[in-house]
Amino acid sequence: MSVIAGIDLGTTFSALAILNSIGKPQIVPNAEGERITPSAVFFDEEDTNVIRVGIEAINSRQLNPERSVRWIKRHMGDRKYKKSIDGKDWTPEEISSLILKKLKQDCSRDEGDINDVVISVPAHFDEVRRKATMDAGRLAGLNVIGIVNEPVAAALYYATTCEVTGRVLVYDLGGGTFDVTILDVQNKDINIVCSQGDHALGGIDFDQRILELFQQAYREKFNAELLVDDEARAKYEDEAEDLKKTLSRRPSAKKMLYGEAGSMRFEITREQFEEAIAPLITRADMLVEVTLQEAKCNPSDINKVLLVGGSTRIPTIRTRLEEKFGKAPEVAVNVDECVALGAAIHAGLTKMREDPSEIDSGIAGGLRDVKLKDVCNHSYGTICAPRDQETGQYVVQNSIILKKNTPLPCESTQRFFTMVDGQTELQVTITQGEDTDPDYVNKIATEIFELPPDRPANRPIKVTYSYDLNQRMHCTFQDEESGRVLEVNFCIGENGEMSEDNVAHKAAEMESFKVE
Amino acid sequence: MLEVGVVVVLAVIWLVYLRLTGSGMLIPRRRSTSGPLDRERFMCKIDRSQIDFNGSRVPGFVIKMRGQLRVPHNNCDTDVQAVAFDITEGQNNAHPVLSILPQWQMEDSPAFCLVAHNGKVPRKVSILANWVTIGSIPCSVLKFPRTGQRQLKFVISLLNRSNGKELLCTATTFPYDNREAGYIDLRESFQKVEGMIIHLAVAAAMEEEGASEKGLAVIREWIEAKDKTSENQDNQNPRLAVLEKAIQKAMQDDFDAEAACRSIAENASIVDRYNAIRLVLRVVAAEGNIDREQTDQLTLVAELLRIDKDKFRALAQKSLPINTHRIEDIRFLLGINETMPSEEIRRRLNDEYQKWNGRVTHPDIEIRTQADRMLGLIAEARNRFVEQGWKVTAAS
Repeated sequence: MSVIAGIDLGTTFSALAILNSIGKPQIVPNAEGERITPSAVFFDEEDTNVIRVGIEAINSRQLNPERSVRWIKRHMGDRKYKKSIDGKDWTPEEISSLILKKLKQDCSRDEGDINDVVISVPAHFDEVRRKATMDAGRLAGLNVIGIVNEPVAAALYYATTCEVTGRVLVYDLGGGTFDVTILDVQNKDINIVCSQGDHALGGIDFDQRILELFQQAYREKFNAELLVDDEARAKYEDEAEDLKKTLSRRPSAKKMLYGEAGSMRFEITREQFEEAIAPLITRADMLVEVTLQEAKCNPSDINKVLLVGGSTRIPTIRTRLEEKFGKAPEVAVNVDECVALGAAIHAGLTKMREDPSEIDSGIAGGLRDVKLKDVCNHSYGTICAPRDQETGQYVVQNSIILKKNTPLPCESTQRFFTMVDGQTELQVTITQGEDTDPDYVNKIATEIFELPPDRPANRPIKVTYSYDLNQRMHCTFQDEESGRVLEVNFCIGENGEMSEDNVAHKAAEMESFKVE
Repeated sequence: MLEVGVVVVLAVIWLVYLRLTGSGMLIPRRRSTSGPLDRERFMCKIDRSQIDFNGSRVPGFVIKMRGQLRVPHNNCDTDVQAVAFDITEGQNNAHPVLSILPQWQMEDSPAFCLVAHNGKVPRKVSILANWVTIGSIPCSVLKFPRTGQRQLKFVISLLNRSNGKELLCTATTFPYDNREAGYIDLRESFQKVEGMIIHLAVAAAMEEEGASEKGLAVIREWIEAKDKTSENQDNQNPRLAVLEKAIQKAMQDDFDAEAACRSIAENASIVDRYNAIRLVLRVVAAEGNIDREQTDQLTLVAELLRIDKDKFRALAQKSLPINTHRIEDIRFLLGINETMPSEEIRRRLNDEYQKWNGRVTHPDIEIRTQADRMLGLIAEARNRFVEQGWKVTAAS
């Protein structure tokens, strides 16, 4: 029996948890003895075969920022992002796979080989980013049996370890992303109601505000720039993060700023910091309200607010949540570890569902009562040309087929019609997003569906979208008259550079890189 | 001289006659007589009555003929053809009556033309003693040049089926009250509306020193696109002429944009009203660097054109992204103002937040950047207008 694990592949930190013999999740410390590992990579210039991951990468970063990578999660699925090191262009999936490889390697040392894993992703991650995350796992030599949303993983761990009943709001503000999820919990029975997320809001954005204050203060004092090169930027990004953490513990913090024009003492109070991050906090507030709106409930309907993610340590966030909900938010679980722990539980549940003979009886017994009902995290649609009700004209628009927050597994079918006589092909586009304007939705796949010739217009095309329990989407387009079917698969890029073959090929290539 | 005059008059009458009948293939007619001989003359008439059409009873024109049929030989196979004109403005200014259904159109134009097989005429001279129905056409299928009281002329011809040559021809005229807008009326109205849209767009392109070249380029592009899709290529020059006139008027400050908007709103279709606001937005966007005065004017133009507020905001947000604004005008970009109740502002801002938050992960960097700035603006607006609401909700 292989070890079942859950991995929180975070923007700033990552963690790995395994299920013990009675189905309880536990964090596996890394080789340095730490329970969480910085999601940082450094390509050693001395020994190019060695890639440093974690705290060593953080320590080396200021010396040579050109060869270091942090916050790669924000680029996940971005086909334009490349990090060029010694003639090789590293993709976000490859870089992420190095972090996963380090976690796997360190875990194997104490716990034996891990194979089956579930990796967590932000609830708002789209199909491309989910697929990219799974590919990163496979490049690291892991068997990724599923993907779980971070707030769902946190809630799973929370519900299975604490006595919880009622409606819970999970406030997950991590290093780079922010999710709000509302769920109903009855002992170990968990029903996700809805999730909303902000992809560009997290701890690094707060750090950025402090960095701006550094620059502003330095300019005022010396009329000169503080961040003159990448080294200086890397150094002060780390200093800003450090200062932010201090301000969560103390009412004020100090730093020395050393620039080319001279050095100065920088002091900042918690109030000044809160003022600087106010627009970001407002964004977070709005996401809470929008989520409540989506769940059709009031703050008073929420029985518990659960905090997840390192950025929830910022005092103003806790204060504001208490003001909003009339009760202090729960910090019953470790905000840095609960996602990995919940992901391990999710891995156990997935294994039990898909391959029950492969699971130890002790683990199966431990997870027996846990029931999870998740929802679809995005709206999925296709591009079509209906008549506008007001103008009567045909307008190209995005028509939603599978609606966000539909309980999983789910399936939805709609019928569309060909537009012109003799139409022999149909460009099918799968979209993700709520907008009706096609320019604003994410087109996650586009393919040509070939149709039989010599037919009049208005031939029916049945479009079926489904979403499985592993948070993956499937689409089929069927020409009803001929029975022809087109199944759409998702992969990154138009050229299918991460096709099945590609992943296998790259996984073999990645094996040659040593991580420490 | 008198003889010459008489010949000229006769020649003119003959030419008009040829023009109306569309052929010189008439056989010589007998002198017009009355009484029993009248029944031998080839004649037609139009009865107005209810007819069956697509399973319902609708008002229609029933075309009938009777009289003597002269054909080149016995058993000559024939067709009968009906065409129609509007001769209200005189025989010389006849306009065709159009059909909206292809089966009653001429081969190369939408002009009304009905052709029916008449069968074989048994002898060289045969007589249809009674009125025979050639065809029934629903009134709604025919389109007339103008609205109101019209004088219509139907021309009926007997054609040799073997070679299509006209053997006989007759015509009838009658008054008709057309309640629908005529096709010339529509074209004129369309041209008027289009002209006003051009004027409005030029007004939007005006800057202190004259018309913006980038703005005018957008208008020319719009005209070019219209010319390409226009059925009547003759419109090409008038559109450019309107543009020149509009520029002159705008330069002389002799253009009432509000009146033009009102007129467009009254005369234009909803599609044209949206076309107008889209063009104006494009013209303003071409120069960029939009100021408060322009956003106020655009809001007013949209109101006068009776454009739905939410749709206008969506159009404006798309055409004039936040980076084109000199000042980030919260009222214009987010559709809120200080007079709105705090709760409504909060609702609107939450809607806008949801919309732009969904765009912040868009693959296009321009949209991502715009979304990020819009989210910043929304947060700013919220802090300014509804920040107290965070606690109020808690209390509620």
